[in-house]
Amino acid sequence: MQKITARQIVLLGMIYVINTTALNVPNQLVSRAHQHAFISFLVSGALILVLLYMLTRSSLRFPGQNLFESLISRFPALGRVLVVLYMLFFFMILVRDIRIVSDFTNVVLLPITPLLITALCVTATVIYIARGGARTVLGITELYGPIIIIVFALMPVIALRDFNFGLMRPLLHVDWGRVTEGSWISVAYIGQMLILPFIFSGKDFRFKYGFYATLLVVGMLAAAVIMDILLLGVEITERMMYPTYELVRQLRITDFLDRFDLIVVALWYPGMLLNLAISLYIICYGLKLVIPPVSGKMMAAPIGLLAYSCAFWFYSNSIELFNFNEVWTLIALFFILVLPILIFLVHHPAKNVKRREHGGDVSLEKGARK
Amino acid sequence: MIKILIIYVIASAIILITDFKVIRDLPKINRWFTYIFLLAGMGIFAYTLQISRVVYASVWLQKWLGPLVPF
Repeated sequence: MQKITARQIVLLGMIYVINTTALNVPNQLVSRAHQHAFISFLVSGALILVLLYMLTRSSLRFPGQNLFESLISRFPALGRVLVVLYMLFFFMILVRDIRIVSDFTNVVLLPITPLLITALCVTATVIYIARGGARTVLGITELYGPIIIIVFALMPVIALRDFNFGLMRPLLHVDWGRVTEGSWISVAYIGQMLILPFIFSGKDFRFKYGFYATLLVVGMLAAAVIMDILLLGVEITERMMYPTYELVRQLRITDFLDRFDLIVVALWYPGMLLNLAISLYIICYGLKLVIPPVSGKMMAAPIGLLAYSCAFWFYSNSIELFNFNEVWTLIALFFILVLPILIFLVHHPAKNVKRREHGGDVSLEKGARK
Repeated sequence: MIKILIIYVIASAIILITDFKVIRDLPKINRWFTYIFLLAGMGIFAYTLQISRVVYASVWLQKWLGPLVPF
């Protein structure tokens, strides 16, 4: 694989979190925390940074390997169980995201096309991206990551004259109970950032890259929610299905450029597909590590099709996707809170310098221990 | 229901035909995994499409885990 740059890592982390979160979370967050919804993002971002630090420390035990590889090489049985559990987690994320993106397409862009066909087209594209492997995924990330950042950065500039700052009041009277409730919803989504140490080896991945990515994501999401409230107000935002899309619809550059939202959606959609491809890539990569003779590239299509059919079995309708968020956090907390702490406890770097100086060779570490 | 299921069957047939040449040379386990994933997917798809009551995974999980949610 080619050399992985810091920019690629930061953009991949950002893209893997921002797309689905911007679509599926804001209305629930605003209905709970009202105008302080952005604080919920900050709180969950802070929690995720602590857990990311723990996982990064754990990945430094074997700097030459990523966390999946090092867990399997150190604990052949328990490591495989952990990797399979994380594969299940990413499979559920993939299933949810397929449903989110096809529902969004069905509701907003192509209302007459059947959901099954939309989802199949999405899945087929995702399979092709994932089959290209890490090189394709990182290539598309480098292309679309900056575009998404630019779009988010331009939004406040374009919409500035329509902002009604009175809608953010009362700003200083924070109901912390409701804000915590909002964090409960958003932490599972921002927790997807923990993917980074699992796919990048300790040599390439530094905590500061994860820190930058989390900062970028939390900043952009908080800005999106604040803009939602400034433009639409709390009452409308919490009743909208996709407030972020509504925000984009409100952007008008001049009088003659109608439907500016289509340009933004066209730029954002590939990022969303990339998001799904990252999940699929991780699942195939994990499967290859658990059972070495299996070819990860060849498994992309069957697993993708399985995820496609699961997308219709997991969720009965589009509203269910939103309602499930509360319970989803409970499931996700096991993977983003319990397991990282467990991994940190058993896998943190050895204090003995001799045992630390190796590039991921377990036999060397065992030798040094004797 | 059968008509919709044909979408899935065609999709899996395309996967099997396009990958046939590559997967032939790989270890046997690859073929088995492909068949297992495709058949499991087809089973789930057929179950979701049936006319009688379908137990959706999210609804089922909500029923069991819902009381544990603190809010």
